[in-house]
Amino acid sequence: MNRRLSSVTPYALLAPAFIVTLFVLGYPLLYEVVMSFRHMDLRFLDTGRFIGFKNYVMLAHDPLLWKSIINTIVITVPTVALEILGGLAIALLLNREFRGQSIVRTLLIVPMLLTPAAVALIWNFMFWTDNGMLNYLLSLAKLSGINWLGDPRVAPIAIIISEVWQETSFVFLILFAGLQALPQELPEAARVDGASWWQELTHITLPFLKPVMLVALLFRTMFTLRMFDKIFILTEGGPGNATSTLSIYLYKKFFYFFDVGYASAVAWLLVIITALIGFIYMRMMWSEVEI
Amino acid sequence: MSRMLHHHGRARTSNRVASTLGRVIAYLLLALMVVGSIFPLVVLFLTSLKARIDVLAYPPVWIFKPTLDNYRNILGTGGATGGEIIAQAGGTSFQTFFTNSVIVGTVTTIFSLLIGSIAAYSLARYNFKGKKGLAFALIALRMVPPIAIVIPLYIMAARVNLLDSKLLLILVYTSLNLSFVVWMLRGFFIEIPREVEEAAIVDGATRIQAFFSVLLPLVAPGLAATAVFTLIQSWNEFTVAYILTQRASRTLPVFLASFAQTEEGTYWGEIGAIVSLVLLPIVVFTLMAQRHLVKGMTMGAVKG
Repeated sequence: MNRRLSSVTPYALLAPAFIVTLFVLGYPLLYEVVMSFRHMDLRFLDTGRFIGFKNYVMLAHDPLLWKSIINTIVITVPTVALEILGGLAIALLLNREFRGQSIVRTLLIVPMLLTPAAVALIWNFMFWTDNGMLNYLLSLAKLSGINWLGDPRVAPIAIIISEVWQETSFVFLILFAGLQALPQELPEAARVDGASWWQELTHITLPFLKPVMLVALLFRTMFTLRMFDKIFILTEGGPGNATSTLSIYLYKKFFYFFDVGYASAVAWLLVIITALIGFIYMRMMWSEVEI
Repeated sequence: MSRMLHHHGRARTSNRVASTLGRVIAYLLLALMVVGSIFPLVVLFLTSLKARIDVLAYPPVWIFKPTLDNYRNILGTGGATGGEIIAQAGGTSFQTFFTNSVIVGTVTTIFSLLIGSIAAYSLARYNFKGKKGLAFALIALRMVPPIAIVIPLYIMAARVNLLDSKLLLILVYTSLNLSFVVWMLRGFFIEIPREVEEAAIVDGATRIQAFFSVLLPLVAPGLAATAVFTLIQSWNEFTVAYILTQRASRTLPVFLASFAQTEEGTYWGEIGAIVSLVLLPIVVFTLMAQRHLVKGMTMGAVKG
């Protein structure tokens, strides 16, 4: 084959993918930086006027932004923690041979596959205050019903429940895959040496799973931070601002207040936070992959 | 058996009891998890088969005379309720949302696989300057949160009159899916030895012929799994669709969202029907691609 031709070929094959990605993701991302330094009104769709760092200064002094950051943390941290713990527990429980194991595994991963908007509706139905299933179950236990989505103290918990219900299966799936790779001799040798179940878990299984757990942790954190669909459908950030996260806040600044520049600045904040986590993730992944 | 146990002494017996007890607890917990993970879904599905009087019954009824009325209402063969609901969602019929979702999903998948497979081939088979950096850039762009780029996309699309078009959704979904597709297919290509294609080239095929007639058929299962994931991704996507469409191009998740915060309970039967109709294809499709799930979900960071 022609040497010159072959040296161009790999780039030519990559070109379409790069052109599309740069055009649809890269360029808008850069344009968003430009917009974040301008005052722009959505209703006019013009280029607005340059105002320097004013949007970012406002950002730092905006109590609602800080509230959104706190809400994002309040929702993300318990969500990811519960998903990791739950996923780990299920993976350990399922990591034994029994009849019907593959059916159980399939049933357990169903939530992960569902349309998030549908999951939000399913839980909207479960949370229904008057005739909902959750309050019915509470009444069976002689407990009084909860205003799941209308009480500002409970609404974040409701969001967390719906998200944990759906995404725990993702964590389970990758931890389970990790467990399958555990060499069987290790736990067997430990058992012969008289190790207890707990010792086996803390000295063999968990250290072995650590890299996989980190992948799950970073992945889930990145995706929970940006969660928009469930919150928007379940509470729209309310009641009050109780579940208004960064995603919801930037959406509202954009569509309800038409403040394109300010919303862009909030969006960039989210991009930077994601990029920091993504960077760690990529470094981990990169050390594993041969390119 | 019991006599043998007796012979081995008390210590071993109690050990055995403990491990049996442990196993019973483990199975009970597992059963609980399985019930928990499908119970909400089953409850809403059952509701979709209830007549209105049963939907509103409290305490909830578990035994009822099933009806397909809710499905009839939604698919437009029923009475006024269906039309009322669809109009409330700003659409003309369930079928329009469904068609939009199918078109956007299918075209996105075709585009992503076409563009993605040649890029994956490049990464799998060639060594060239800057390869590592380019692969990194491609994956890094996948980390961008969709909610963070809808603002510039909205402004840019509005200026060129592309808002509320299926083409816009297809373009955005294709680029959001590309890095995933490239990464998946690259993995599948690497598993096929180079010699297979080289043999075809020696036999007089061009490199392009070898790619299409030898390599692609060999990775057909992987290609199919990747296609299924891409299809599901766009089928499920809400944020971009909600913000960049207004009426004509709305997809099913946006339709679903229009029932948000329906507390009165009037439409739960119909909502259950819609949710079931939206979820059915996903469940069928993923069961088909289950084997590749882990690899796909983590972009190969964890081997399945």
